[in-house]
Amino acid sequence: MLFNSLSFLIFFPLVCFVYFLLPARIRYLWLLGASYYFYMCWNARYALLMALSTCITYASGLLIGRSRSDPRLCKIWVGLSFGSNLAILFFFKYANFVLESLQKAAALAHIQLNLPAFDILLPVGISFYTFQALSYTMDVYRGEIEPERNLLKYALFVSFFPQLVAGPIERSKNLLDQVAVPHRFDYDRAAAGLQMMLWGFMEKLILADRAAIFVDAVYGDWANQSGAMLLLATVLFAFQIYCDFGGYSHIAIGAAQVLGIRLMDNFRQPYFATSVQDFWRRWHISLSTWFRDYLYIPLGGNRKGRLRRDINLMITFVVSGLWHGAAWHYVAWGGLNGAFQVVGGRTRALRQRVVSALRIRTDTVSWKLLQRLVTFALICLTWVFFRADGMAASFGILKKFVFDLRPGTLLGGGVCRYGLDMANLQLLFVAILVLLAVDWMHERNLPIRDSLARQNVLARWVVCWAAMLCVLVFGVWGGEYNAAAFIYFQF
Amino acid sequence: MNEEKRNTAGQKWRKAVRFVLFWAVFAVLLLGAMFVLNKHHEKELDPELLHHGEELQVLFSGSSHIFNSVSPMELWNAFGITSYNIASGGETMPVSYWHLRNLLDYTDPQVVVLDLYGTFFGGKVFINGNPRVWMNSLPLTRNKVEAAMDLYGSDGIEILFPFVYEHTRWNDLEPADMSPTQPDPLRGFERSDAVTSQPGCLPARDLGAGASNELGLEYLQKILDLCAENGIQLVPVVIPYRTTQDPNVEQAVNDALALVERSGIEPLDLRLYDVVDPETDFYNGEHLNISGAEKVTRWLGGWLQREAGVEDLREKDPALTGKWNGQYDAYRRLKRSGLEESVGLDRMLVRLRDADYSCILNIPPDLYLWTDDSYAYMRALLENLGIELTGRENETGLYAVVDSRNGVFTAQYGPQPVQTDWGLVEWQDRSAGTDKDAPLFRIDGFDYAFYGDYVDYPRAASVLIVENVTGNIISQRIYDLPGNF
Repeated sequence: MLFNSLSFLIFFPLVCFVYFLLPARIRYLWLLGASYYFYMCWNARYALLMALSTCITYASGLLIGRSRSDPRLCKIWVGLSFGSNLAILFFFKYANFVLESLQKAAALAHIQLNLPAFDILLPVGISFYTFQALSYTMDVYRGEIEPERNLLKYALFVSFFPQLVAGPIERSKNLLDQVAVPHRFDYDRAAAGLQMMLWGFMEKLILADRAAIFVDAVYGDWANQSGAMLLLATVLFAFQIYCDFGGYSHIAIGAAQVLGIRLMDNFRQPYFATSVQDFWRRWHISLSTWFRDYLYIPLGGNRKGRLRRDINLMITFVVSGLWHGAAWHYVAWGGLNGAFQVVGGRTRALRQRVVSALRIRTDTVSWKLLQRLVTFALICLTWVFFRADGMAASFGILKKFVFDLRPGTLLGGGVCRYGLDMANLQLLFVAILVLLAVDWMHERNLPIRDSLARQNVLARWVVCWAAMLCVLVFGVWGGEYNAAAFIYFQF
Repeated sequence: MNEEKRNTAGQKWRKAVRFVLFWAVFAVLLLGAMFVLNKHHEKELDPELLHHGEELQVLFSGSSHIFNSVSPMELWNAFGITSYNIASGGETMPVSYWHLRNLLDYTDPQVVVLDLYGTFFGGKVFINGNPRVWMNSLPLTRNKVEAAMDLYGSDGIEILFPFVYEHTRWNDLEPADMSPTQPDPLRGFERSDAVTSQPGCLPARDLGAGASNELGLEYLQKILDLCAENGIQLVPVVIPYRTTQDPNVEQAVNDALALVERSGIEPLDLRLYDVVDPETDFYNGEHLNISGAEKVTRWLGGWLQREAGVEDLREKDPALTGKWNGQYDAYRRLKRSGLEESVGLDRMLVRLRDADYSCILNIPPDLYLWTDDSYAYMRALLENLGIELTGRENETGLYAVVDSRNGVFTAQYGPQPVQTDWGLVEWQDRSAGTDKDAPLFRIDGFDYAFYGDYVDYPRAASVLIVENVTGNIISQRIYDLPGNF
């Protein structure tokens, strides 16, 4: 069930309505049932997989709790939990990738390998709920939380529907307690949650899905496009993926807020980052902190010297790339992000000396803008690998940026040949400006919701009505379109 | 404490009221947006049908075959029968059933004339069909909901709310979108003045066995039952169409004919009655043009009065008569503008197969029109107006007055002057060449049809159009035809 579907618009109010009517003690059961129903709308059988992962990590938590006096045994339970869950994830997500890569590598060495190919449907959200469940195991192991004894409450933590299929990847410390506690209906909280959802729908339906029409058309035929057109498509993809994923996160956070549950923020104005490192503190925060806490730091983090730090960084980002997709171009995307940070770290001192020598003032708006633009350009470079359908396409596109720019193709209505007429392109441009304006306000600690909340009720209502009408009129939805799945559902 | 409770209760009430008010105002705004974005001016259900449907004696239902063949306005003008053509393109029998069932909420016809060709279209909604056009016009009723669910399944929910499709029109809005739907002056009829001549093309009934369309037959039976329940006389018809050599088409039509015959209803297979001429009356081989529609309308009108007892309302209801006559005037104005805009002598001749317009022709000799096989259809079009060609027109030219009043097409011939109800008609005799300084026509002393340099005058064919209701010459047209020059 997609958030941007009629069935969700019926499902969600019904779930909320019944939730607040039920006796407090059994509300979580209703949410658990609703969450499993939500997941089973994708594929009923794979709900069993999620249940299996839930049971494994639940049991591991209890066993770790009972084995506190024996650290070696605790490690075994952690190992089994991680091993079994990652094995499931590996099978469904990476088996064919590994087999194909082995075959290609063997072919390079003129060895013919006949390996089986599995016809596997990737379970939606497996990467998300697996990581969420594994974080629970680690948190119990580290003594940060006590093991949850109520299997059903724990199952709700793993399967909570707003964030089940595309995050934010919650930590047990934050979410487990919240789902266990019944929440009273709060009008203002629910209104704020609905406003958050509305913003998410605006991002997704007006901006992301509109940009997708153009991006898909250009990237789908990249070999016949000019470098300038591909550059434009890449920039639009940067906003597409931000608004698609950010939109989903906002809808998830808003939906949870209506139910009284607070989820973590997942994005913090990422395109206002002043470095790639800063970008990763603002983008997909739940995943990047997960990798920081459960991979980078256990590898040693930055505590074992600069070289080891750089290696740990590269490993973390290569694994992150692999998490995003079972294909080499995702690995390259992750690796490139890691490389930018490594190079950035290594050259920081040198850059500071240069800036100092040139007497450049770094506390100015223009300097910040330059840093942001450079960061945005570097991130867009990495998005080429993320969006292209393979390594060859990625390098082909980069080559076109340099050797086949042909900026004239953007003129004379050339941009209108990719599924969006001029009116839609203008709307897209305006939507991007609005997004940047809102993000800028948040960057300046002027959250637009707080600003809105200070206005009188009629002004607030007018803004909400206008936003809702914008989604309904300008949004990419309805019979002319198939509800476009969120990008991150494939992970 | 009590005050605190009262305050809390008061706050809750205020929030509840605000909640309801917020959504109520939003609903109004949304309805406004839906109204603006809904494509009003496309062909859709006439408000007349929804608000004055009880006036209608006959409904014509089915596929494009019938909406190209029957003109309710001509039926009114010639027979005083009130009707509406509710057919739509690619309309399957399931759609015809639901269309009729929904419209019976607004109409109470004595007769429903149903075109059986739609039995051929597969599925519930055919690929060319668009029941959304008429469904969008209907208020939300139980019949509409049932229709949407039956025709579209789970997608029916979106069909009930056209905004789902039409919200994307925000950058395609036109002035007509801001005004309410206007009554359709054609009452569902669609006219074409094109002609595709295919002599001898009317289908045989037996092309061997093809595939039956059980779904189509199932819904045809439902239509039979629906009409029986509502006391409506159902008249199944087959409108002539060009043979497709597709046995599935013939199988479907034959199955439909057999089914209605088994039900004790005699269908009207117009292919058997020599109503239309395949040389002049089709615009694309499948569908009839204005000339074919004139003939079918007149034939069906006569049948309905004689055999189905449909009354002429013109003497019975003065108010209704005044209203429909007024609408006919609007329809006539539409036809007149079509005459002004038509291009080509062949299309003009198709349009002139019309009881509202007589004409005076002056066509010179030495044209390929008179000798070439490729112009046989145009000669047929002239004969379609009641003109009898002598075969000597290539030497003499053609000078004729065609009188179409009362739907009877008779001709008088020049070049000798002819006295008509519109005056004395004189022609320039061009058998020995054309005098460019003389008019081609003179009527009661008034000259018509002089030429400028843009026309190669030896070839110019001229037509004067007379509006029968006023007796005025409303248009003169000149056509440059190729010939032996």
